[in-house]
Amino acid sequence: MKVVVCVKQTPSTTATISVNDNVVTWEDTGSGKPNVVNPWDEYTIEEGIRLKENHGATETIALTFGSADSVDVLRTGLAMGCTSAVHISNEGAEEVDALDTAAVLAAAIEKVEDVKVAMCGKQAIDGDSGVMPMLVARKLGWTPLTFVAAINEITEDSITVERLLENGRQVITAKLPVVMSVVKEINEPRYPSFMGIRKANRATVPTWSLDDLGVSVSAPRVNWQKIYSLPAREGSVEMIDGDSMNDKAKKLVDKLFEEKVI
Amino acid sequence: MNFELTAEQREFRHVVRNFVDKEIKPRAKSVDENHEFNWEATKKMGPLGLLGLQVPEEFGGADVDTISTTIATEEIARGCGSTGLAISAHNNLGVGPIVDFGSEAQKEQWLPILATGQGKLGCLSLTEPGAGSDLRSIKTTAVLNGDEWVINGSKMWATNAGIAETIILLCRTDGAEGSRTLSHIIVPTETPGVIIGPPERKMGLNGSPTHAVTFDNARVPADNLLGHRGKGLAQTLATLTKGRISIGSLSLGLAQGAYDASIKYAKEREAFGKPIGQHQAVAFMLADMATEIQAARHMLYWAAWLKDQGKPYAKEAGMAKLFATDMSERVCRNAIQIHGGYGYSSEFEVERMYRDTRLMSIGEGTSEILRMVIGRHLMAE
Repeated sequence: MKVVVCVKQTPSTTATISVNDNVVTWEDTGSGKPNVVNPWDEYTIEEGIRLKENHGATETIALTFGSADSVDVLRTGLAMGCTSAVHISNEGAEEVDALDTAAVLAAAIEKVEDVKVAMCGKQAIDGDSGVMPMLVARKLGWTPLTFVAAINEITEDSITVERLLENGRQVITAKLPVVMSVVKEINEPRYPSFMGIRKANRATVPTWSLDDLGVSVSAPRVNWQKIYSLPAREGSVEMIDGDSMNDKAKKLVDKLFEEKVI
Repeated sequence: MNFELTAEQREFRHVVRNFVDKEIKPRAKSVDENHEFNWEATKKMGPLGLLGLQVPEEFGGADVDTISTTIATEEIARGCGSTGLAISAHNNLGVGPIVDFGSEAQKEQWLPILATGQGKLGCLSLTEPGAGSDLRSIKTTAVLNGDEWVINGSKMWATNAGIAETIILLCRTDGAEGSRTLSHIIVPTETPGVIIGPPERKMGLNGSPTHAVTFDNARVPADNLLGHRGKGLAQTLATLTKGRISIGSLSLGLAQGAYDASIKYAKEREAFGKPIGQHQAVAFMLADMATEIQAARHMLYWAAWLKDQGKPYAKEAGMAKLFATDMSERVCRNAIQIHGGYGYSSEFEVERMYRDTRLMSIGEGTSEILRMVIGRHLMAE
C-alpha cells in the first residue's frame, strides 16, 4: 500500500510580504528562508510517515507541483522520513488555478500506481482556498475524508478516521482508496534529522512534466484583478486611572459597556 | 574563494533555528531563574542529531562538518546560553575524545547512548582546586589494581557532571609528576565512590550545572583508559583546541541574540520624537555590534573550515575564541546600554546574556592563555 503526501511550498510564516503595483514579493531576513513547507503539510508528511512506521504502508511518497525551487519542500519531506519524492514541473504553466492543479495532482497520484491513501493539509497558507483535497478526490473518483484528526484503523481495504468538526468528532469508516485532508490535532510533526537532511540532499528527485502526465492546463479561470495591502489598522490606547483597583475595574467595565464591547 | 554555505549547511541552520525558537528560547528565562537544566528540549535533540554532531553515523551520530557544528552551537546559544554551553560541552568535551581517541569497543559501548539521547550527557573533568590553566599540576590519581583503576582526588568546575552519563577524567596514572604521566579514564557517574557535589552558584549560565566531583576509591575497569596511557595532556590540548571554536560559537550566538533584541528595541522605543535607533549614539553602537559579530563569525568559520580541510587551525581557533569572547562581552554590554534601565532588569533577556557571556573568556582557555598560545605560534612561524 502506497501513501502519497501532497506538499506545497508557501512563503514562510515569518516572511515580510510587500505589495507593489500588483506584484507580491516577500523576504525573510530572520530565518533566511523565504519559502517553506506549507505548515499544514508538515502534519501531512508526519502522518504519511506514521502510516509507514505503524500501519504497514510500503512507501510514503511526497509530491509537489511547482517551480524548480519547490523541490526544497520535497527534500524536507525526505529528511523527515518519506521514502521518495516526485516533483511535477510547472514549466509552461506558471499560472494555474485550483481546478487544474487538482487535475495535475490526481494524474500524478494515478501515475504513482497502487496508492491507497493520498493526503493534503487542510489548506495552504498562501492561497487559503482549502478546496484541494476535495477537488483531487473528485478528479480521482475516490472518497474524500476532510479535517481528519486521527487515523484509528487501516485495513487492507478500509480506513477508520476521526474528523474534527465544529460540533465534535465524527468517527467514520470509508473504503480505500481515499483522499484525506488533515488538521493539526492529528500529530506533532517531527524535526528533520541531520542524518535525514544529508540523505535527502543526496537523493535524486525525479521531475515529471505535464506532458508526462498527459494533462493540459488552461488559462486560470480566476483572475486577480487588483492586489493591494490592507490599510494599517489604527488604534489608540487609554490608560484607566483610579484611586483603587476596584475603582479602576469599575471605570473599565463602564467604558467597555459604553463602547459596546460587552 | 566562496563565502556561501552549502545547501546542506543552510538546511541544518534552518532546522536548528526553528528548533531553538520553538523548544529552547521560550524556556531560557525560566531555566536561568530556576537553575534547571532543559531536559525536555535535550531529549528531543537526540533524534535530530544535536547530541552527536561529529559522531559517525554508524554510532547514531549526525557526523556533520565543523562549520555545521559551529552553526548549531551558535544557534542554540542565541536562544539560551545555558543550554548552549551544556550541549557544546557534551559534544566537544564529553563525546569528542571518545570519537577521537576511543577504541572500537569504547565507541560501541558509549557513543550510541551519548549521541542519541538514550542516556544522559557527557562530561570532561580537568580542573582541580590547585590546577586550572596549569594542567601539569593535576593531583587526582588512578592506580591500576588488578584489572581495575582505583581513582582518588578532587575536581572542580566540571560542566555537566550532575547531568552526565560519563565523566572523562584527566588524572595521573603513574607516580611521577609532569606532563607525561597524565591519562584520560572514562568514569560512569553511577560508579560507587564518585561523589558529585551540588551545582555551583554562578554569575550566569544557571541552567547549565557545574559541579565539584570527588573520587573516593572509585573503581572502573582497566579497559576504561581512553587513548594512550601518559598521553592525557596531549589529548586534552587537542580537545581544547577544537573546543575553542565551540566556545567562540557560543559567544557568537549570545552576541547575535543580544544584537537581535537590541535592533528590535531600537526600532520600537522612541525618545525625543523618533525611534532611538535613529539617534546617532545608538546607531553607532548597533553598527559596531553588527560589524564585530560579522568579523567573529568569519573568524570562526575560517578556523572551522581549516579544521575540516585537515589543515593546522590551532592559532586561528585561538584567535577566533579570543576575539569572539571579548566581542560578545562588548556587544552584550552595549545591548544593555541600548535598553537603558530595562536592560538592567531581569525582565529583559539582554541582562541574562551579559551574565552568560562572561564565562566565555575564562572557560576552555582564558583570554590570557590564548594570547600566550597565539604568541607562541607567531614566534615559531
